[in-house]
Amino acid sequence: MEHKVSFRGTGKEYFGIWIVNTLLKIVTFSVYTAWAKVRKRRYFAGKIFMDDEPFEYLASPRALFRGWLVAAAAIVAYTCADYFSKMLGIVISLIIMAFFPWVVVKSRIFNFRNQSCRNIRFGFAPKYAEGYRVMLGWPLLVPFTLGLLIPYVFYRQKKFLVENSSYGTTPFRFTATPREFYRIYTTLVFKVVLFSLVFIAVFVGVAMFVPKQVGIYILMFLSVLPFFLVVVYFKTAIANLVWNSTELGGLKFQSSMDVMDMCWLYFSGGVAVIFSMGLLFPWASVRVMRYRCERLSVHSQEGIGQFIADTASASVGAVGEEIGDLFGMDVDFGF
Amino acid sequence: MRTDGFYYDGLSSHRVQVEVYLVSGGVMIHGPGVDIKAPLASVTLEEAVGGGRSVLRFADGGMCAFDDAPFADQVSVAQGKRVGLSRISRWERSLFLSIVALLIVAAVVAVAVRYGVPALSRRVAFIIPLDVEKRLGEEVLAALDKVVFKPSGLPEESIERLSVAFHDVAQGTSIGDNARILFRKGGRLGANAVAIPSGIVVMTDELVLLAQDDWEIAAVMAHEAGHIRGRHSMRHLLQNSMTALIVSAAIGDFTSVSSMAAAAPTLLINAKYSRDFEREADAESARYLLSRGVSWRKFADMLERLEADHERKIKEKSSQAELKRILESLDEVERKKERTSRSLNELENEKDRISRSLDELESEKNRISRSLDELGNKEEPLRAEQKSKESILKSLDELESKRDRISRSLYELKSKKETILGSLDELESKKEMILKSLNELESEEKSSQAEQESEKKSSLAEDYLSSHPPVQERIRELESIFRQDGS
Repeated sequence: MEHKVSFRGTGKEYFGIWIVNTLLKIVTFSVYTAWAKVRKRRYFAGKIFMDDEPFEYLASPRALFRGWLVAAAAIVAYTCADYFSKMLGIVISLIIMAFFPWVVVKSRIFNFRNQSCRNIRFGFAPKYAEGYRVMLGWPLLVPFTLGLLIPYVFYRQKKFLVENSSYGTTPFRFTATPREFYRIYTTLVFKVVLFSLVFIAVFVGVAMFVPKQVGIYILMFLSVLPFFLVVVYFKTAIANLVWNSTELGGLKFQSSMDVMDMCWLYFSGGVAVIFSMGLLFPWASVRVMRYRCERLSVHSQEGIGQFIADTASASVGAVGEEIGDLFGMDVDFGF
Repeated sequence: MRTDGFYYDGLSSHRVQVEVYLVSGGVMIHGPGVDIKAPLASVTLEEAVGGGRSVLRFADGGMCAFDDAPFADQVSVAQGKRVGLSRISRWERSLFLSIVALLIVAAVVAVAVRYGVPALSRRVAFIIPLDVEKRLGEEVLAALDKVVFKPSGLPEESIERLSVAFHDVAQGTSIGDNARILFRKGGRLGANAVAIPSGIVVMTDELVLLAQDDWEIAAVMAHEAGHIRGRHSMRHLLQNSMTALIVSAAIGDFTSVSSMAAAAPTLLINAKYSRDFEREADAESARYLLSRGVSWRKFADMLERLEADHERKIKEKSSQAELKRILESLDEVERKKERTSRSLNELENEKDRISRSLDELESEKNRISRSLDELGNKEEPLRAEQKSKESILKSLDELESKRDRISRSLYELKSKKETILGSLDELESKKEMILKSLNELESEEKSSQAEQESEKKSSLAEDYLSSHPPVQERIRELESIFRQDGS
């Protein structure tokens, strides 16, 4: 049977939450950040429904606040060090880089443990050594293979993130093969070449035949466009592949996001946000979320009532989560 | 009081449809396989962010969800808590209150940017250790030396004289002994002076040469010393990064697209800051001149002269470019004309050649006709001769058609020649037109040098104008502070 996934939030609802969060963050000099984050995530989780059952975000703002304090102290130390001595700044950023896999793992543990559906929590329980291998070890080999290893590294990272996740006591399985990742990359390379040729032709055409005053803006737009298309294609294709290769017990996932749809969502959303001085940001984020859920479906033979809770796992701190957030590390957050 | 809901025991993902009762001192839940009675003190009621079902959590990890706001209110009442939505939820869900929040955000940002950031950056700028500022100043100077400035060409003695003057001007700056003046050839900056962190003033040769006396130079030095005294370059740096931080924190996440939206207001605000700094430094300069018994008008004169110089430079640049363009197009016409003449000559030659070959053809034809006649006269009935006669006739036909073709091409050549002559005429008139516009440009340049107003502003001027308030406005401001007569 199919279990319908849907996002039932609206731009208007999120606008209220977002603007109140913003105001409180400003007047409390960012101290409210932890509470704001919890409200935002509780909103988004609570509006994602699977078979009319919403998800829940359960993290306590206090835990996040403690993590935020540690992360803020780290960022202040880093900034000061960088200001007074370039060398020290480099040393510290190397240390932070060495911590990156730890941060990703900690952050995912925190967010998964605090995410639930039907009163059963998700989980993430990897080996740290494996985390270092896929997020630091393999990537360091990439330059020596002229980049040919990139798809494989991506495959290993996604496999690591999915296979160590669980819902209750049931682990997720990852069925993708490296071949599928390489296929996305070859398509990507092909698209890059094709786009480059087309855009060089259009570029030259515009430069020659369109008056300079208008032409310069068209050219600026055109020079960002291929990059934008390629990035959206890559993200969409990888997201589809990862969902379609993920299984949980008897559940199979299917994601059918379309690259052109995503391009349009991001492009029109970005334009709207810029021209509204940021005010349409809630509307744009809700729109993307709704599309993602719309294109995701879950199938199973025997329903979703038989998952067993994992009552053994201990609670975890939010330091990793907050360091990842403040230092702008791209930490994966999904359900 | 009762309502319908779902119960989740927290052990499996199985859900049970239940009836929820609020009884005296507790909550009761009934359903298939579920029979719970919990005291009110052990139950927590949660509302959904943004709206949705309410949740009761039990001490054993069980959870009951129901979609019934009045029932939730009753539970709150029974627990002795406030009824209805939490304050923050009511705020989030009311359109009116959200708009109020928006307005407050806008107001807070505006006040912070207008008053908070300048005040804070003033504080911080004076706390920053001199070492840090020195390093920064040296970096900036090195960059400027590499990109714009060239070594000064001023004579030793005037550099010495002006350095002494600067020492007098810079007395009492908070930077103290570190204040120093350097002279450089300005290159594309032209007549200019800049104050960079740690109290370095760089003055260009062009500015020194533009000034009519040393007081005018001292006025500019005092203006720059004003920047140093107020630590303007450091404050500017701090303010810019602080506004960027505030604006992007206010409208969205740091890493999202909205940081692009944040760039526009940030730029506007930064321009406003630099205008404020210029006004402060202007007043410092006027005060210095007055303290030395010189009219502050000296500074105003120098400002006006600097502006006129900048505008002249821009105008020169644009009219020079125009002139260059016209001369290039004149060259092009000349070249075209030459090419056309050459092709005309070629055409003439071709025509001659064709006429000659036509003549030859004519004579050949005559010769053939003659031999044909001769052949006819001989009347020798030989088949072979008959044959050759036929072939001769055929070749005669061919010659005839060849002649037609040649006359046709001759005709074509004639018309071609005519069109080339026509285009030659056109080129000639075009050349005349260009020469005329060249004359016009020259006379225009002469007349425009007389009038000071310039209409075209290059990027150089825009840079200058955007960070500095218009000179007239600055002088009016000074007039309002000091007396009109300048004493």
